[in-house]
Amino acid sequence: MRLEAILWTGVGAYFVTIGLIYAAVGGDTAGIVLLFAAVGLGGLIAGWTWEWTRHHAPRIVDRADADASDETGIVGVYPIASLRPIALALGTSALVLGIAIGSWLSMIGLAVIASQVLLLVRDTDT
Amino acid sequence: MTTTERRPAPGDDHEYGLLDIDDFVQGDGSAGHAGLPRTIIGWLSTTDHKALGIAYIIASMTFLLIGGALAGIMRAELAEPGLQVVSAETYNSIFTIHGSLMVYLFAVPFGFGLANYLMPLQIGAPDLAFPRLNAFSYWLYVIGGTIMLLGFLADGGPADFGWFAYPPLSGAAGSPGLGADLWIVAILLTGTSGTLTAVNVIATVTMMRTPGMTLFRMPILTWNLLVTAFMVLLAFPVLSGALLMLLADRQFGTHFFDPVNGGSPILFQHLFWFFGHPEVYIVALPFFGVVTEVFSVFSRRPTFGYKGLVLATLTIGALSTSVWAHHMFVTGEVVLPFFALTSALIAVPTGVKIFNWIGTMWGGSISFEAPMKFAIGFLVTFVGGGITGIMLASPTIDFHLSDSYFVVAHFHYVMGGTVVFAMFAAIYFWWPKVTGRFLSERLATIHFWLLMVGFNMTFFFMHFLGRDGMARRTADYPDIGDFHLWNLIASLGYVVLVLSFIPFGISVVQSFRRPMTAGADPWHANTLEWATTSPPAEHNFSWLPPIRSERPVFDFRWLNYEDVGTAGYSDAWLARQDHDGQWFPLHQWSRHPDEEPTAASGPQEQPGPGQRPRDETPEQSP
Repeated sequence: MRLEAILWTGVGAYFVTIGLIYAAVGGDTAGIVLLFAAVGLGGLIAGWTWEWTRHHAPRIVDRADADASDETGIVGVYPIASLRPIALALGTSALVLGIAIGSWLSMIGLAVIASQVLLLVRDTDT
Repeated sequence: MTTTERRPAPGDDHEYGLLDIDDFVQGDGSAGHAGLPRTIIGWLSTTDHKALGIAYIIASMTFLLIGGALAGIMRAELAEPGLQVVSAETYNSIFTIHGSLMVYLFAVPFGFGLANYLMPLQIGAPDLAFPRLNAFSYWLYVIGGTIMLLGFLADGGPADFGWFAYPPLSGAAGSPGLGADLWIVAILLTGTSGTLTAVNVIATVTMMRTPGMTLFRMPILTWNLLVTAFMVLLAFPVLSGALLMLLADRQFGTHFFDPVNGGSPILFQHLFWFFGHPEVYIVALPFFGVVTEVFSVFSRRPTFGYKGLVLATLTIGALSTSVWAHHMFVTGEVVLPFFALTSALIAVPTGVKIFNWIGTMWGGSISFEAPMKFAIGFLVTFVGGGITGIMLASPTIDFHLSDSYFVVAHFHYVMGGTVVFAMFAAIYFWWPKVTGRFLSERLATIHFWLLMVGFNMTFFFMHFLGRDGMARRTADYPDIGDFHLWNLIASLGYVVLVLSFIPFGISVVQSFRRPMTAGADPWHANTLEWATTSPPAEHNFSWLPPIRSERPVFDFRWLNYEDVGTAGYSDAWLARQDHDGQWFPLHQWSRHPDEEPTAASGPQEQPGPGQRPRDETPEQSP
């Protein structure tokens, strides 16, 4: 994870540098804000990865000499097929489309989203 | 070349020499589309990365065909001066939806299709990190695209303000119809879809690589998808924010972009192009990854300067976020030297990539199967578009050429030809993996040459049109100079372009009538997707070779020749013999408690040599 941390730190450092240069040459406010927002984006992930690195031993996948036998076991539980994602997408689309067509559609979208999120949570519990 | 003693390998009937992956993977590739849904409900509800990858690619190519058909109307309209195939208003809608389909709904999602299908396979993972989020992202994209096309049924027609929707034209007064709102909603949904896919890609690459697959052993395609995902995270939310503000201006009477009430249309342009220029590389980077794989495999050489190529990708990703306002030179509101310099600088890492691709081929044992033909077609087209890009980075040239057909030619070379050639390189290359079958080489050759001729006929002469002052986005033009001739050639070129798809279609149909004879590794390739059956089984792998370089399948194939593969590879293989068998349970996946047992989950119920029963394996999180 150390390499990932360095990578994301590099992202933050780049945008600090370019943001300062852009501000110094009289760049527009929107651009300066966006560049420094990018610092935050890179910095957020860099911060998490450094924190992870500090509190965990190096992962098997980070070792150059690792092989499959070093990581036996179940790596994850994968979900079965589900209609929830498509229902959630329909609900989200209705929610946004309602802004243009009418609030009634947004209400329907909101109800669909709420029901699907609840069902997804229930699925996770079981 | 020196040889060493033959290494122990599963099966005792191997001839001394190159190892064959097919002898090591379960199944013979004739089991059908393992893991893919077989019913409509199955496709609607699937969360499998391969199924969704295929669905992305089919959907994006459908949008390509619709966008291509709209282009046909434009080329018919422009074939002769004075012709009125459609009204000027309809023409505006057609070029708007054509551009939007191609940029938002074809080029980027095709890359997401590659990410879905190939990236987990390339890093030895059983799926993406968040399969349901992945399905949600896909459906947002498809529904978003459908909403955009529904604009054709709306009163007043679809959006007609161009694919970058500048206000005040895209405001409530400039575009009062519902079609404009549908366009904005469509882009909001597809943008959100892209953002969520990017999260999935980054999480998967970071957390789900198989042991041995360190960051600097990842295939270049996976690297490019990772950098693309970061750029998506950076760019797409900015576009979504800008479009929400635009929607608020239209629907709620806010004044973000309304100059009469203190708003700033230039702000929209900044926000749009902060998305828009990284978008060019969001489109291109996955295809750079595709051709890198193809050049290496068909030159029988490792990728030249692997780390340099990764660095170039990172540099392109970084610089592409600092060049946005070169699209706004003519506004007079931007710092010209800054953006001219950063725009020109981006040519350096791009040049490094081209150098590396040539270096990969240099001295190689090149063969020109279909993927290689299309990859070279990509290279030619991309260099053509790149050169005009450097020209446009100069404000003095841009002032003359802005909003002319020169720009249309430039970005069709960069975002059109580049994408289409590399897309077909990808299709021809991974078709045997996805289907277990081959496409016809003979038809591919016809396809390639028709595409090459048609594409260049259509777009090359637009450079001259733009140089001589023909403005883009006009439904008609005066019959001066060679305007008519060049437009006519472009329109005829479009016909050749369309014809080029016919041999491809025939080849696809023929392919599905053939038996599945491809085997696991038909091209003698390098990366892990070739270390499983064709098509891959559900959750991908039952076995993987040791990974000691970015070419694990190559290393494994040449295991018996110690000086050919990566140093120490045979030691890694021998180390496996220290364990209680040659087969290891790798990246086991467990069924959901509700799921019925499947053939792919069978081996866990009956562990093979070296496998422990599932209930004895310690649970680990990735």
